[in-house]
Amino acid sequence: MTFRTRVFLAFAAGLLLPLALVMYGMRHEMTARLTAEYERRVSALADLVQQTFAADAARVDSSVATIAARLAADNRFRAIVVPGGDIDRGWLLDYGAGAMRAGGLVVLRVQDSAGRVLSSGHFRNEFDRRDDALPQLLARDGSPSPLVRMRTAEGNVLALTRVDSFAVAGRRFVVLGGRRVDQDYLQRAVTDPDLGLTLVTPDDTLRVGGDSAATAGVVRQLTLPYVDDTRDTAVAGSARIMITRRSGALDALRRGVDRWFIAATAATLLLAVLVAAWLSAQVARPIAELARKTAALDLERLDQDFATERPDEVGALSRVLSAMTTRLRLGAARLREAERRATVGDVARQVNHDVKNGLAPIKHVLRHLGEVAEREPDRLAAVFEERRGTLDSSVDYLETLARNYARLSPATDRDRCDVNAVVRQVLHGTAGRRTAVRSLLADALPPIRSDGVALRRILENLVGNAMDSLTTDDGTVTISTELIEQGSARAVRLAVADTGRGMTREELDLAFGDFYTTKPGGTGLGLSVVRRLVADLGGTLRVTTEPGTGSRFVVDLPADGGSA
Amino acid sequence: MITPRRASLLAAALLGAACAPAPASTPMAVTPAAAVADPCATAPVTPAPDTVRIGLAEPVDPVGSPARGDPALGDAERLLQRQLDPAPFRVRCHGDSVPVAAPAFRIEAATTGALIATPLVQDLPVLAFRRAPGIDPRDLLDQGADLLVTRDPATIDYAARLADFRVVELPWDRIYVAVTRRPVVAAGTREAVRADARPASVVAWWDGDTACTGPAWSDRPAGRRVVYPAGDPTAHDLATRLVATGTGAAAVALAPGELAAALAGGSDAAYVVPLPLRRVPGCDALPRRPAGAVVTPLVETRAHALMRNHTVRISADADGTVRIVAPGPP
Repeated sequence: MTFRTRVFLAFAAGLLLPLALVMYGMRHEMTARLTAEYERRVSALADLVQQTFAADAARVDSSVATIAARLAADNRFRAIVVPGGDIDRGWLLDYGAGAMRAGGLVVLRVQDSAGRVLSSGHFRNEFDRRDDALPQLLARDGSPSPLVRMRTAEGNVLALTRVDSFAVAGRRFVVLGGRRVDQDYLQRAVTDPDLGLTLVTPDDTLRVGGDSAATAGVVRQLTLPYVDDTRDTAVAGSARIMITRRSGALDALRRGVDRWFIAATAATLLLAVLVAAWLSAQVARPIAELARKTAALDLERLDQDFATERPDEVGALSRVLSAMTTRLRLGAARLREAERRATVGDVARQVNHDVKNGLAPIKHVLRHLGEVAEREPDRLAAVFEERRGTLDSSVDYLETLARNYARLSPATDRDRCDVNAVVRQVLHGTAGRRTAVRSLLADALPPIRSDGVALRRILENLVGNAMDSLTTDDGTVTISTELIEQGSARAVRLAVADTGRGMTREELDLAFGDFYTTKPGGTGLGLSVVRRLVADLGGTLRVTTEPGTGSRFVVDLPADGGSA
Repeated sequence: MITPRRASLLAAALLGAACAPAPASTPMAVTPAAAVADPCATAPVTPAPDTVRIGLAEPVDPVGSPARGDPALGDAERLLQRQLDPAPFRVRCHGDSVPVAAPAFRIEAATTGALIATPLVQDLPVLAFRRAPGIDPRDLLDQGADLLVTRDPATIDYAARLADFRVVELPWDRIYVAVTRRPVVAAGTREAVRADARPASVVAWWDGDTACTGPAWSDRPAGRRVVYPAGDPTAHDLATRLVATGTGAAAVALAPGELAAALAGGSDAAYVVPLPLRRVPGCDALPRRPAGAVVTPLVETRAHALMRNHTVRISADADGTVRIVAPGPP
């Protein structure tokens, strides 16, 4: 698992867990509060429904009792029902409708003790029909609010029905009246838009407000006695009034909370990704850069620059690596010097051997000539001529040997060297070329301990590469020098910057290797030689480059005199 | 031809016939319309009225052709059309036919609320019809109508209570039948209707007339409706009575055209059909009786003429329709 992944997971967990907890708590709390609020409203509605039914039952009771009392006192009714009286059934048949309307009822029926309908307000022409079951059921039930489904000529009607009785001339009569219970009736009780009423009878279902009972929660249920009087014989049962809750409001709230939770989670995840990426970039990238530089270190390439201004742990690590690299560089220089010295010793012994080999014939010829001069002087000239070839051969050998060794060791001759002077020499050498080379030279620059030729080779290689990298005629090459402080030491910084094509990371990684070149006809040794020469001089070389913008080679060489 | 005097009276009738008290008309020279005595006419009135104001409590079509026997025609429509009837003879209340100088009146002016019919025969008064459909017929009496033909028991009862009105029972003219697949119990139908009704006899002419017979019903099960013509309170009462006695479950009103179509279809429990009590020529204006259907007579009804005393003289035809006749003898 990468460092970046760990950072991301840590952030995600650190943000998501509290967020989820908060969201769950909010959702739970809102649900609980809404449920409690619903309970209160449901109770209020249940009370209102019961009060409405009770009040209407009382009104029906009053109307029915009034009608019964007036009929008992009405002589026309008495004349009709008493045997031998004046039978004006037309008046009685029409009486029900008038009394029903006057009493604010929707059903009204006057029946005798045998159940025969004498007058019906809601169904005038059902006279003479026998229906003794309904009065008996209503009288037996005794409930304050029985619901009765009754027939009319045009259909059925559901009514909150009450019954009363009276006696005329010793005969018992029943008055049965009721108020319509329909959707309008239920609607009057439902003032809460989130609640609904559903009246369920065995034959029908009335619903107002809310959702259907199948989709909404039934939060309260009231039971009323119910009589179906639309059949041949009235049948008793029960009706239910269900208070239903509109599922949309609470569900919509939950959905809203869930949507916000999802949105917050997505935003948190995105934030975690961004923060993790930023943090990992802040931490992992410099570490990766250090790792890359460290991986590139070897005895031949100790010029990696670990310098940084970061104040954090990465900066400390960089400084440790920089100090270590400096120590390695010094150690490598000493090692190379020791190696050179060892090599010089070997060469000296080889030279000694070779010289001895070359001198031995000469020595033999000279001893021979001495012996001839002493014993046979007259033959000296002849012997000399005879042995001259040997002498010439030996001398040629020695000369050849000397040339060869001279080629083997371009011995550096370190001396106090004025960097600015070398820069001016190089600038002088570029005079007349098409590319302008500028210089920004620091004043009072201390000398460095170097071989002038080596420094010149460094500068000429860098300037030559810079000029070759220019892709346009208006490109520039700038040579600058300055005095810098490296801890307690001073150094001269020599920089060559160009506005050429720059290098990619891959090109840069290969640039200081042997035989790598991007120029037609190039040897691929320029920067490799520069790197070695800089290392020989105890300096460092680093490059900043960007494709399309240019490159800047910086050579830091210890100033002569060491400390600042 | 309208004389200037009559024109002024017409204008007065058009503008204020409904509200004004009985006009103080000037007696005119009366010439008897016919020398034959009319046993169906009411008593002569004197002085002869110049204008008779007639209340029409139902919609009328003054340019429509009269369709004798059409039960869809209301009493007001029949009353109006009978005055304009061009037939050269009439069937009087006892069934005898006599020639008439036809037509007796013609429409002289018509507005939304009134019609003026001028006589084409001497001695007849100008008829000022007040068109007030939907109004309580009792209001028409109170607003000055001299003649109103109605079946509304409340209006008849009210007129009987007024001193200057008399109620004339017109011939029984209408019969209501139930058309069903099976015989029905028709008990209590006379009490069920709020009209002047009597038990019905068999309408053999409609039940047996092939011209009035339509295709038989199919065998599909009958529905639960008891269908009756809309706007007919007697038919409504009979339909509800059928429901109350177990035929069907609900009384449903249909427009006359829809009723005829429903009757032909036979998909309902019962059909309450009003018919002319006496045979009428042809059955064009009547619904066809489905072959094989059971026809059960329910009740017969009649209308009443409510007449302001000494203002109008009428004579009844056999179909219960009223003619305005000359005020003097015979």
